[in-house]
Amino acid sequence: MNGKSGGGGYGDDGAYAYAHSHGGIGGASGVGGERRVHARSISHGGIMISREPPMLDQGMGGTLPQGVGGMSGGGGVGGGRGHQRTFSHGQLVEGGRGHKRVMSKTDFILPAGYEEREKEREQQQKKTLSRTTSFPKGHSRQASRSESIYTIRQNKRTLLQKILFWKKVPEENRTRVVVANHVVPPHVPRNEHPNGAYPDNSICTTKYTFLSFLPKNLFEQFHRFANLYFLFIVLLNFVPAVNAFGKEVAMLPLVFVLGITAIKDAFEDRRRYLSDSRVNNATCRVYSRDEGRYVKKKWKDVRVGDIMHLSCNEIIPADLVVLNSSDEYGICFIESSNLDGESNLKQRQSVKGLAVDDKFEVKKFDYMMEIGAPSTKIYHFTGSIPLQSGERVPLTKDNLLLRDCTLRNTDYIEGIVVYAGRETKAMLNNGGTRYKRSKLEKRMNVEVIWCVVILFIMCLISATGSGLWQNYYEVNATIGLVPFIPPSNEVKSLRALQLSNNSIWVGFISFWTFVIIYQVIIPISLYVTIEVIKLMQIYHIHCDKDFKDKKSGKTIECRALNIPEELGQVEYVFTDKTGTLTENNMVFQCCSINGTDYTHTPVINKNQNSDERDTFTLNNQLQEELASIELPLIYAQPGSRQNPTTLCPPKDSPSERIMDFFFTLAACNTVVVAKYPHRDAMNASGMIVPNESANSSSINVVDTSSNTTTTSIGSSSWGPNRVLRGFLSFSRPLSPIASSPHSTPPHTPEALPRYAAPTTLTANYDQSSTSVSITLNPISQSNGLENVRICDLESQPNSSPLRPSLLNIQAAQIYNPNFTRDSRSPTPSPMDITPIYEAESPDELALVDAAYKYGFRLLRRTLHNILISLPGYGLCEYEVLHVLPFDSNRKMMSIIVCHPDTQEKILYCKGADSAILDRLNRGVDDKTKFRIFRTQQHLNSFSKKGLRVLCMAKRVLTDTEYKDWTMKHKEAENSLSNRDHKLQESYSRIEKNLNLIGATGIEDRLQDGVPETIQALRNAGIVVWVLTGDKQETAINIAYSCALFVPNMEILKLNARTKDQAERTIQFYLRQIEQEEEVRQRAQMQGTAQGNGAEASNGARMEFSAVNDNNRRQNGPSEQRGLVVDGRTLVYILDRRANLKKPFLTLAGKCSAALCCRATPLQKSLIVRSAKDDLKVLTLAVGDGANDVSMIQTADVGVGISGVEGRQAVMASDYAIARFRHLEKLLLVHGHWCYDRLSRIILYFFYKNASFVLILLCYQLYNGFSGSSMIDQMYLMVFNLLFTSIPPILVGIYDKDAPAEVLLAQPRLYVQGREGRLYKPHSFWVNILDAVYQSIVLFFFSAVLHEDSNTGMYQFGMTVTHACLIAQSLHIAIETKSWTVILVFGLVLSFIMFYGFGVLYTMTCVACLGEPSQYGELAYALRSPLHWLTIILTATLAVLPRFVVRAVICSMSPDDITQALIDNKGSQQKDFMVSWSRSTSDSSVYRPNCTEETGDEASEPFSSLVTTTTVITTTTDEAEV
Amino acid sequence: MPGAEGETPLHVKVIERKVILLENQIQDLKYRLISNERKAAEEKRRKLDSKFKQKFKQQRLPAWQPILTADTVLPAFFLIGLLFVPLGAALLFFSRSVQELQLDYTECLSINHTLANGDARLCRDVIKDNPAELCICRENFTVHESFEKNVYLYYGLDNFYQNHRRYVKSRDDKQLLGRDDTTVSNDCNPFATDSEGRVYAPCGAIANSMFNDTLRLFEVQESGSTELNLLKTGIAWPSDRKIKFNNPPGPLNASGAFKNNVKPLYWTKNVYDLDPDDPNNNGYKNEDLIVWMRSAAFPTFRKLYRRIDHNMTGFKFGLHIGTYYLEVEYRYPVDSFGGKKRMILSTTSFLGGKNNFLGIAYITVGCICLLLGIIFLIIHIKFGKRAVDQLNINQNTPYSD
Repeated sequence: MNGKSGGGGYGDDGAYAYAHSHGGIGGASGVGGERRVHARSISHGGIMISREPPMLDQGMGGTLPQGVGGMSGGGGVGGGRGHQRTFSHGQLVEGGRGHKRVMSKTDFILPAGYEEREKEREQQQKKTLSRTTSFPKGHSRQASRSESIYTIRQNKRTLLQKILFWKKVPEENRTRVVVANHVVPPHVPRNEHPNGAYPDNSICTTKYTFLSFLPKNLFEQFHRFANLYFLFIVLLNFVPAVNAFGKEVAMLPLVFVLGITAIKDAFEDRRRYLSDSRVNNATCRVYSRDEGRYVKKKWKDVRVGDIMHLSCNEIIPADLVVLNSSDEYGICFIESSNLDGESNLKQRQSVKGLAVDDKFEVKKFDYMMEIGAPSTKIYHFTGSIPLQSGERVPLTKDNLLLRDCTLRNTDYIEGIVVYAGRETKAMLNNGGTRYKRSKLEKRMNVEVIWCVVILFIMCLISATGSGLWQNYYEVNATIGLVPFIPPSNEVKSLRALQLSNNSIWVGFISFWTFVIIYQVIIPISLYVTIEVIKLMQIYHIHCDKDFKDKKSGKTIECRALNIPEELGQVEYVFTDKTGTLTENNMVFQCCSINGTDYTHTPVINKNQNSDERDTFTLNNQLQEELASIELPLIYAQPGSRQNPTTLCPPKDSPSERIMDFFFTLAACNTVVVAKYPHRDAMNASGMIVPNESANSSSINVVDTSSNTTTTSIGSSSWGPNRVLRGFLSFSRPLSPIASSPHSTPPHTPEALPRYAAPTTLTANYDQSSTSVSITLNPISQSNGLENVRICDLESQPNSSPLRPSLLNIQAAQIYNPNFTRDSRSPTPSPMDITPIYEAESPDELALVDAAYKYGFRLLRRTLHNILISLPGYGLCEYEVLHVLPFDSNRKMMSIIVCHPDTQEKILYCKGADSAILDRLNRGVDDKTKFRIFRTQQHLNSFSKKGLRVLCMAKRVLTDTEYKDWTMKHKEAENSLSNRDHKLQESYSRIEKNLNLIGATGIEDRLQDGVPETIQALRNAGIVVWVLTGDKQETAINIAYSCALFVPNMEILKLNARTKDQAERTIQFYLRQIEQEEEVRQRAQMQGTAQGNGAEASNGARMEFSAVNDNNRRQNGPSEQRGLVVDGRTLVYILDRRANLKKPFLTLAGKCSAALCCRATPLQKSLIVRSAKDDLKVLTLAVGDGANDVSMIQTADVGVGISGVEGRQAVMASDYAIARFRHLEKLLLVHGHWCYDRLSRIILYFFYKNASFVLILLCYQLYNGFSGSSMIDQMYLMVFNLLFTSIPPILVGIYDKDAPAEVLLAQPRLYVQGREGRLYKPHSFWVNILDAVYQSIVLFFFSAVLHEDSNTGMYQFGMTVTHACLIAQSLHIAIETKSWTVILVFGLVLSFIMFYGFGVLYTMTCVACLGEPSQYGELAYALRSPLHWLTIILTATLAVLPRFVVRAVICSMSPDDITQALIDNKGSQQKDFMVSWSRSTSDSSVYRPNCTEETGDEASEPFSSLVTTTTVITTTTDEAEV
Repeated sequence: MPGAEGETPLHVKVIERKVILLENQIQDLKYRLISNERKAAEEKRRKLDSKFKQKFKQQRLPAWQPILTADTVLPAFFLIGLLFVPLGAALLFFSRSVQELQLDYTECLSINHTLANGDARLCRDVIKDNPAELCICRENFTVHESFEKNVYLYYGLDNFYQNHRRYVKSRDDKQLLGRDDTTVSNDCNPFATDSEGRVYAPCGAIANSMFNDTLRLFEVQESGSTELNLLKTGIAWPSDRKIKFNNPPGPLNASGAFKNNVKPLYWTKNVYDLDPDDPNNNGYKNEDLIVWMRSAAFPTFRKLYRRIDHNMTGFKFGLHIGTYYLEVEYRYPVDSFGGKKRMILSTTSFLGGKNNFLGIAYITVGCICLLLGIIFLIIHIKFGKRAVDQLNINQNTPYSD
C-alpha cells in the first residue's frame, strides 16, 4: 500500500494524511490510508532504524516500505527523538541513545552511607536498570519494578527444587529452534517434530500430583521444627527400653497434625488445580493448517510453533513473537499488570523484514526461528530468524508478547508461540505467597522454648524420682530387684539383669520415657490449631461486607494468611498520600493565567456505581475570554488559512498566553489517544465475520465497497456528509467551546445548516455525548479519526467529489447509528464519542481533559506529530521536535514543537512550581514581574487548598539557538559514559529563560472517611505518618484536611539544607520539648499554667508554635505535636554517618503525627525500617502505587490499596483493601479481635496442655516414677486433639471481647492490642501457675478419694480425665467473652466427642490395640456416683480461683474493654444511646482561614498556616521562663 | 350427534363434563395452594438459612456477652454454696454409715510352724525360708458393732506398685480372652514363656504376682468355731467376667484348654485349679484372677476378696457382734517390697467404701463459695455503684455541684 502512496513523494504515510497544513497527500495515499482505519496513535519508525544494530538496518531497509523509510528520514531531523510513551526500554538502551529515563530516585536523595545496607537491593535495582529502562515516564508515580523480587524468589525455588527433589532443571543455555507448526507435515510423531521437545501450553501450578502428594507433602511438613520434634518423640517410642506408649498409638497425634495440614494443603492445591484447569480450558484462536484458517482451540492445546490470532483486550495465552499487527507499522500494545502490576501500556512491534511486501500471510510464514532458552527475565529475549539470503532478522523482547499480559490499543495481532506453558516467563516467575511471622507468634515461640525447659525439668525430676525409687529396692530388696516388676528386657545374664535394675540406668532410661510422656506440654496441636484459626479469621475478614467498595466492587484481599493478629498490634501507620488518602482522581480546579485566577467548581460524581470521573464546570470568564480570542479569528478570515500569521494573536499578549496555556495542557504530556474501542473482524471461533469487517475493521474495505447494502447506505447518507463537508471546509464552528451545559451556545448563521442534518445524527450524539458542551461541535461529534480524515480530504482543494465514494461509506458508518452498531459491540457508549485518553498519571489526564473541555482537543499523538483541534483554528498538526521527558530531579517536562504556520520552534514546559519559577526569564519588565508575582500568590493559595500545582511556561527558540542545542543534545544522547548527567545538562541548557504562562491547581479529592479514619487511628494511639512525594504546602494542607494534624497542634518543621542545620534543628526541638515538659511538670506541681515559648533557630526555617497549655493537657503529653520533614532533610537524617537517626526518631516519638514530604520510595521504606528497627514498634504501611512497594514490603504489615494505579502495591502487600477508610475496621475491629482471640487461645493452649501433663506428673508420685499413666494411652493421645481442641478453636475464630460497634466507637480500646496487654511475658507464667494449681486440685482430690480403695487404675484415670475435661471446658467458658450458638455447639461437641469416643473405645475394643484393655471403664465410671461427685467437686474447685480473680478484677478495676461493655450494656438497658455516634462530617478539604491570603505570603508561604495556634517567636531566654 | 340420544342426553353430558372440569380445577387449585405453601415455607427456610449464613459469615450471630462483675457472679457463688454444703453433709452422713474393720495380718503367727523354743513362728519368715511351705495362721478380731447387710471381705496390700509402668503392661489381654494359647504378646516378657518355650497361663508379671493367700473367717462360739460361708463370685466387674476374660475352648484341665501352657512361675497351682468346684469360676474366668488383673490405681489398695453369704443362719441382717478369727493360708510374700497385708470387712454405701473426705470437701468448698458470695456482695455494694452512677447520667441528670 505504501508503495502507492510513495508516489506522492512526500515521505508521509497514509496515516499522516491529517496534516492539514502540509497538505500534499496523493489520492492514492488517501485510499491506502483508508485501509488503516485505525491508525496507531504512536508510530515509530525512524527511530528504529537509527537505533537498531546495522544488520537489522539492512534487513529492514530492503524490506520496509518506502513510505516508512521516508518517514524515518524525516525523523532524522529530530535525531534521537523518542516519543516512546511507555515501554520502549530495551530499544533505547541498546541503541545507546534515546531518552533513557533518569531514575526518579535517589541520586541526590540517597545518602552514600546507606549503600552497604541496601547493597543487595541496590544491586538488584541496578541489574534491573541495566536490562531495562522501563521506568515509567511522564508524571508517573511508579518508580521501580518488582522484577527483581520475582526473579530472586524464583531462583530460590528452583535451587530448592534442584537440591531437594532431585528434579532435573534443564540447564539449557543454548538456543532452540522453533518452526511454525503448519509447515511441518501433519501426523509427524511428537518426538520427531521439531517443536516436539517443548512443553505444551497447559500449566500446572499445583504443588502436588495425585501420586506425589503424600511423599512430597510429608517431606515439606517435616521441614518444620515442631513436626521434627514430634517425629523424634515417635521414634523414641520405638526404643524398647524407653517406650512409654504403644508404638501405633503414639503416632496418632503426629498423624493427626500431619493429616490436618495435608488436608489443608490438598484443599489449597485443589483450588490451584481448578484455577489451572479454568485457565487451561480457556479458548483462543490458532491457525489450523487443515482448515486454512484460525480455529478455536483451548489454551492447553496450544503448542510452540502455533500461530495465533489475538484481538484487543484478549489475554495472551503464551509467549508470542508478534508477526503481524493491525497497525500499519506493526505496533501493538500490551498491558502487563497481571505480570508485574504495571498498568501502563507497553509497546511491542511485529517482526519486520521477513517478506518483501511485508504483507503477512500465515501460510507463507515458513521461517525457522532461533530463540534463547526460556528464562525468568521478563524483559529479556533474544533470537533471530535466518533468511534464505543468509541475513538474519533479529528478534528482541520488543517482538515478544508475554503470557498473561493483555493486548491493548490494537485491533488484532498475529503471532507465533515461542514459549508455552511452564516455559513462559509468566509461569517461570510465578511466586508463592509470603510467609511472615507475627509478633505474637514470636512471643509464642519463646514460650514454647520455655515449655521445653519445663519439660526438661519435669523429666529430670521424674527421672531422679525414678532412680531414687529404684534405689530403695536396690538397697533393701534381697537381689536388688523389685520383686513384682519384671525386668525391662529379656535379660540373659544376671549382670544384665542387675544393670537393667540399676538405679542410675533406670533413671536415665526413664528420662527418655518421660520425654515421651510429657511431650504434650509442648503443644503439638498449637501450631496446626493456630493455623486453622488464622485461616478462618482471614476468611471472616474476607467475608466482611463492610470491606466491599461499592464503586469499584473490590473487596478486601488477604494475601498473607498468617498475620491477622498483627493488625491488632499496630503502633505506627505509614501511609502514602496520593491514591491512598486521596482518590487519585485528579480534577482540574484552578488555573491562573496572566495573573488572573480562574476557579472551577468541581462536580463530584455522586453516583457510586458509575465509573465516570469527577468533572468540573467551565469557568465563564475564561470562556468569554477564549471566545473573544477566537471570534475575530473566525470572522476575520472565515475558512481561509492561507495567511496564517495574521491569525495568530499578537505576540506576548494575554490572549496568546491563554492559547499557549491550553496548548501546553493539551500537548505537553505523554497522553496517548485511543480513539474508539477496538474491533476485530475475526470472531471467537476464528471465522471472519464479513459484516463486521465492513464496519470499521481495516481488513477488507475494498470488498465492502462492492457490497450493495453498504453502497446504498453510503449514497443515502451522501446528503448529510455533504452538508458536513461544506460546513467544515468553508466555515469554522463558531463556538467549539460552547458554554456550560445550561447555557445555550451562541448560534451563527453558519451554524444553522447543521440542523439540516438528519435528525438521527443530532439525536444520536445528544444521547451519547458525555458533555453537552461539546455536542454541537462537529469534530467532537465524529471524533473518529475517519471523520477527521474525511474532513481533511474534503478540504483538499483538489479533492473531487467523484473519487472518495468509499469515504462516504465511512461517513455513513459513522453517522448512521444503525449501521455502526454491529452485533458484537454494544450501543455506542460515551466512550465511543470522546477520544479515550490513556495516561500514566491521572494529573496529566486531568489537564488534557480540562484542555479538551475548553476546546483544545488533543486528537492524535504520534512520535513526531500532535494533531490538535484548536478553537478558532480548527485542526492543527504540530511537529514535535523533542520531548524532554519528566523526571523527578528536574520535576518538569518539556516539549519542543514546530509551529505549523510560523515554523517557530517553541518549547512548552510544564512542571513543579519551584522548578519552573527558578528558570524563568530574569530580564523582564515590571508588568511581567507583577504577573509572576500574582501567579505565585495564586500558586500559594492553590497549594493551601491542598491542590497539586503545576506551572506552565514557554520559550520561543531562535533557529540558531535550536540548532546549537540540538547538536549538543544529540552528542549527549549518543555519549556512552555519563549520559544521564550529560542529558541533564542538556535539558537544563534549553529549559531556561522561560516565560511563565500560567499555573494550574488540580484537586486530588480525599477519599471518603479519611479524616475519620485517621482520627480513629490516632485515638487508638497509633502514630500516623504520611509519607508523600508532594510539596510541603500541599502535603501539610492535606494533612490538616485528613485530620492528621489538628488545629491545636504544634507543627515542628525540619527543612534543613545542610547536615549541621538538620542536627541543630533536631537538637533544638528536642531541647524545646524537654523544657516544655519540665515546665509543664513544674506547672502541674505548682498548679499554675505557664506559657511557653519557642524560638526560631538561625538558619533553619522553622515555625515553632506553642499551643495553649490548657489545650495541651487535655490531649495528653504527646498528642499535640506534628512533625513535618522534607525529603532533603531526610537525606541527612537517614545518612548513617550523620548519626541523626536516633535524635530524629526520639523527636518523632514525641510527636503524634508526622509528615514527610518530597520523599522518594526508598526513603519511605527507610523510614519504615528505622521505625521498625530502632523504635522496635510494629509498623504498618499503606500504599497504592509502585512507589510504595518497598515501604509495604519493609513494614511488618503491608497494606495495599487496590486503587487505580495498578496492582503492584497489592501484589506486594499482605492485605489489599479497596479504600483507605477500610483500614479503620480492619485494624480497630478485626485486628483487635484477632489479637484478642489469638493471644487468649495461645495462653489457653499452654495452660491446657500443661495442666494435663502436670496431672500425669502428679501420678508419678504414686507409681514409683515409673512413667505409667492412669489415663489410657488412647485417651492421652486424643484428649488434646479431640476433646479439648474444638472450643478453643471456635473461641479463637468467633469470640468477640466487644462488639464491632463498641470497638469502632471507642478507638482507644485498641490500646489493648497495641501495648500487647493480653499477652505479656508474665501471662504465660500466670497460666502455667494456674495449670499447676488446677492439676493439683484435679489430681490430689481424686487421689485422696480413691486411695486405699478397690479403684482400678484406669477407673481412676477416667475420673481424672473427665474432671480435667470439665475443668478445661469451664476454663474456656470463663475465657469466652461472648456466647454464640457456635461456641455452645463447640462445647457440646467436645463432650459428645468425649462420650462418643468413650463408648466406641471402651465398648467395642476388648483387646484391639495391644494395650491394657479399657473395656467397660467408661460405663462403669458413668454409673458410679463417686465418679460424678468427684468430678463436680474437683472441677469446680479447679476453676474457682480464675473465676474469682476475673470477677474481682471486673468489678473492682475493669479494664477498658470491660468498662466499655458495661457502659454499652447499661446504655442499652436504659434505652438511651451513649454518645458514640460518630461524626459524619464530610470529607471536605480543611481550609484553615485560607480564604484570600496575599502580601508577603509568597516569600514565606506557610507561616500563617497554623492559624489557630498562637505563633510566638521568642528568644531562648524567654522560653526558659 | 345422532347416536347420543340413546345414551345420556347431551346437556347432562355437558354438565358432567363441566363438573369434571371444575373438579379438576379445584384439584389443581388445591395442589397449587399446597405447593405454593410448600414453596413459601421452603423459601422462608432458605431465607432463614441464608440469613444465618450471612450472620455467621459476618460474625454477627446473636451473642450473649456476660460480664463477670460482682453482681453477675453473686448468684453463682450462693448457688454453689447452697448446693454444696447440704450435699457435703449428706455425703458425710452416708460415709459415716459405712462400717469397716481392718486387720493387718502381715505379722501373723503360724499355727503349724514353731521356732526351736516352741514359740510360734512368723509366717512371713516361714515362707521366706521356703516359699513352698504351707503356713497357716490365725488372727482374732472382735466386731463391736454389728455390720449391716452386705458385708464384703477385702484384702489390702500396701506399697505394692501395681500401677508401675512395666507391671501394668505385663499382661496379654488376648490370652485372657482365650483366643490363642500358643503365643503371647512380648509385653509379658519375661513371664511369657518358660525356658522350654511353653507359654505361661496366664502370662505376665501381673498374673505371676497374683495374691494367693487364702482367707477364711470363723466365728468364735462357745460350741467351737464355725466357718463363715464366703461367696467367691460376684466380686468382679460383670463386664470383665463376661467379655474380657474367657477360657480357651476345651475342658479346663492340663490336657484340654491349657494343654500348651504351664502355670506361672510363682504360682503353686495351675490356672485351671483356681476353683475346681465351680467350672464357671475357673481358669481365666476365676474372679479372684479377674479382680487381681485389674491393676489398682495406688500402691496402697484393697481388692474385693469375698462376699459374706447372708443366707447363713445368723447372718441374715449382716455381721453380728461377736468374736471372729481370720485363718490365713499365708503364701504371699510382702517382705521384699516392705509391704503390708490387711483383711478388711466393710459394708458399702452408694459411694462405695468409707470416705469422709468427700463430704468434708464438699462442705468446705460450699462454705468457701458462700464466703466469696458475701465478699462479692460487699464488692458489689461498694464498687458496683460506680458503674451504675456512670450509667445514670443522661441529659436529664442534674449537675450535682
